[in-house]
Amino acid sequence: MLLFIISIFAGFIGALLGLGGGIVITPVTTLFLGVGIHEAIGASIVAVIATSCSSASAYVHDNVANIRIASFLEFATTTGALIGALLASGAPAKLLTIIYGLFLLYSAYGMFQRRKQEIDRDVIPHPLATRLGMCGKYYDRALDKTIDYNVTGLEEGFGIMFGAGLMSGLLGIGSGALKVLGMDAAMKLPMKVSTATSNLMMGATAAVSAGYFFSKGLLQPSLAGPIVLGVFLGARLGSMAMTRIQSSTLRKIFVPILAITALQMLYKGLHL
Amino acid sequence: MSENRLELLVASFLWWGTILSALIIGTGMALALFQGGNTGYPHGIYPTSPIGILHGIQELRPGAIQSLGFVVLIGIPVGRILLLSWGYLLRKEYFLMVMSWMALGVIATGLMLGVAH
Repeated sequence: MLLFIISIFAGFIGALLGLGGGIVITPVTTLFLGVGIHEAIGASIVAVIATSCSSASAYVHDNVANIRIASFLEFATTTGALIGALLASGAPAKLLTIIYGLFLLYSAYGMFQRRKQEIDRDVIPHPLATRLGMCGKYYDRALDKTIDYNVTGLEEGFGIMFGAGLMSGLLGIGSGALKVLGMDAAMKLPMKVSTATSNLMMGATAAVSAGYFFSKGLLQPSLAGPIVLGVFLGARLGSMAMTRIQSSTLRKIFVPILAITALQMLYKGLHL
Repeated sequence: MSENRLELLVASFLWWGTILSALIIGTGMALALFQGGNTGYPHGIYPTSPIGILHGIQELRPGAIQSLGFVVLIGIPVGRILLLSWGYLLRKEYFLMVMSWMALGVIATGLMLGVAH
């Protein structure tokens, strides 16, 4: 029952911020419930898929998630994840984890400075984004108006997504934070579109790892079952909440979570 | 196919896929609870091959039913990319169709190599 309640919270946070939910599941199950790290990661990965599917159905339906941007960037994240996984055994994990932690910390500071910003104005669309019909609009319930947005920085965004996938494969993390940052800072997408599209994409990246964990017998049904059901419910609630709060509020919630993730990475890197 | 129709199709696919996998996993969990926590397999073991899952389901083993639920869940994002690529094909948006196929190719390669973290 406790696991189910924790999972509802994990799904809620994951769907709200585009982080997947693993950020809560792995530490809670290993530190407080005494679950082995492999079983915890296996359960965490299916939780990411559950968060992605449950929340993305609402986000795609409401036009908040941009399917064209997801299709464009998914190739970068999956390729990065595959190369990262191939290089994982020989990579300097300690150094990479510290660099990643510092990068997230710097990004948290950058996002903190823009915490009051609702949406980026005067974004000149990238020619390819225009050609592929990536610029879009969605109805913002919190502002009670339709938000039109342009897409820029496709090259930077593609590169950051590759980096996010690479980190995911190298360090065994979800790297949802980096995906959201890439879309928010480099591609100048509204925060809500960034988190919603990150949620949509995350399921595909996690499916690779989940298939591996499942076939290796590392998914513990008694653990993963209640987690998946809890996360489904939490993610649905999170997606309902996300459309009703302002982007600036979303940033204010995202910054401390990002800072905590960064400090976790730095701690992990220094103690590897 | 209009853009809006494609988005509704994807949203419905994700929604019903989620419901289906949750129902299957929930049924497996409920059955296990009904049988005093017995999943039909030794602790920590569950069927991973399609034949193993099928046989387990025929024998109403809760662990096999849950396994099927996980397979459905893992298949949803892959099915979503397939659905999108089909939509792009119908809309003659070949660039995004190729990008989707390449992502699927990478996922398939990862699964085959078994190199995921």
